Amino acid sequence: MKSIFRAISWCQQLGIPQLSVYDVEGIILNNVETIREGVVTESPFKDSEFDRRHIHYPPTPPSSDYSESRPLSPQEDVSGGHIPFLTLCIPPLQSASRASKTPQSLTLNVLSREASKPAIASVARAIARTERRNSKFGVKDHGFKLSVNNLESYLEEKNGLAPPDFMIIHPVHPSKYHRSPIGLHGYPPWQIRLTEIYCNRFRKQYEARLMWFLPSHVSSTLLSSSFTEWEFREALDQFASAEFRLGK
Amino acid sequence: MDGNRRYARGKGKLVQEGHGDGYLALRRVLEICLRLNIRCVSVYAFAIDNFKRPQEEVTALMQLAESKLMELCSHGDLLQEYGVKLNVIGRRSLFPESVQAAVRKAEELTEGNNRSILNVCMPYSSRDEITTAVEDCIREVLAPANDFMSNDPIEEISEDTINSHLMSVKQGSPPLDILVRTSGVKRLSDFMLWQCCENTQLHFSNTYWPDFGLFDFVPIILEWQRSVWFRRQDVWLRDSHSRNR
Repeated sequence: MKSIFRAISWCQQLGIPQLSVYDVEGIILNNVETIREGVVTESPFKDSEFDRRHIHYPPTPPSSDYSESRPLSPQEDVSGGHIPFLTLCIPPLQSASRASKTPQSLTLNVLSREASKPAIASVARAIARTERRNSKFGVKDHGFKLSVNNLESYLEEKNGLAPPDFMIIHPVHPSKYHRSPIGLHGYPPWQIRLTEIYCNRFRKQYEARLMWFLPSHVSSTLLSSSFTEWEFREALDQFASAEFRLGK
Repeated sequence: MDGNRRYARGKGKLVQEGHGDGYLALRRVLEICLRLNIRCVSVYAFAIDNFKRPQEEVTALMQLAESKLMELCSHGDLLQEYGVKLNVIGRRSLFPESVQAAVRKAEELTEGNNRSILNVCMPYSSRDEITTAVEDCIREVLAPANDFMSNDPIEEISEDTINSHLMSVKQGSPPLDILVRTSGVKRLSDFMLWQCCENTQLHFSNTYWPDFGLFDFVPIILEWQRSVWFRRQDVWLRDSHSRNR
């Protein structure tokens, strides 16, 4: 939670309009009340074209005990499809020194695995139902065709999930035995086509080696790390130096 | 297989030569994989977006594809030696007819092979693969025969259904264990998004593809083996812990 609050505050300071946080087990989703109490008023949100960040938390080790993730959210769109995730609108910071910039509110998306492949399946079912309804009303069947742009509009626009420009993978509980290779843990695949990915594993590897000799329950607690400003700055440096050629 | 052009520019070579060296790297790394008994290798040879490149380069790439496909599949060459079945994954109707013919011929030549699979993704886009899979799923459930089944077939569409309709999976590819992106880019760029977003290790290498070889590859394989070993350890420890209770 500390990591999330920090991320929210840094994004606000930088004027980043949209932040998504993801963890596969839905822990963040279960603790959304904490976030709400911390920063937020819920209100309808507007999608933004600019810089979108995403922070993604890999699953915690099996010894930890977590409750089932809560199912669907208020953001279901019945007509088009279902991408279950929660969106909060966080009002801008009160900051006198930034008077020259128009303060922008931060849209926070809270995602779990439900917003990933299951959501694509859900959209597929919704499209199939619409198609079946149309063919029953006598619309001539030319063989069903679905274009990439069509599916994209269901998954990304309106009540869909916009693709993030940048992704930071932050393991909250680095493994006590070894650095885990980078993995995406089920983050919605469609949206990450062009997302720059950052994951710093080496720092954690070094700390992990230091903790080798401690009993596991102690080292897990000591090693679990919040998202630091250093990490955030390094991530932004990587993003700034990335070159996008887009196939050309 | 990213970085051919930057590699070429760095060495004062033509872009086409960079792609040629890229092909040599492919042979080199493919042979390493096959010797390690890796059962399925997929390479991103040409993206649908790559048609936006200058016409000269695209034409050169098409010619490279035609000649090298036949080379790889010919008698005595790499794929035959290791019993590798070639699958070309992508929207091949976008290719000129001569390339399509070469693709068909190459696939025929290796049809009977069953020790390993080589997926050459061209012209490929993961979103295109996912969309086609979804389209196929929907077409299937809308087929008239399904209208009177007791379970509504539409409700049967799940992530597993879509997965099984992916072009690569339909042609026998197992789940993806490792994904390597070369040339220092830290993005997926529309490659196997569905397959790699879960249970896949991502490795970003700074080496340009034509330079990629054993030196770059071995640490990746070792890390994968190590993580598999540790995962087995974790399972064993957990099982013995619950047995001792």
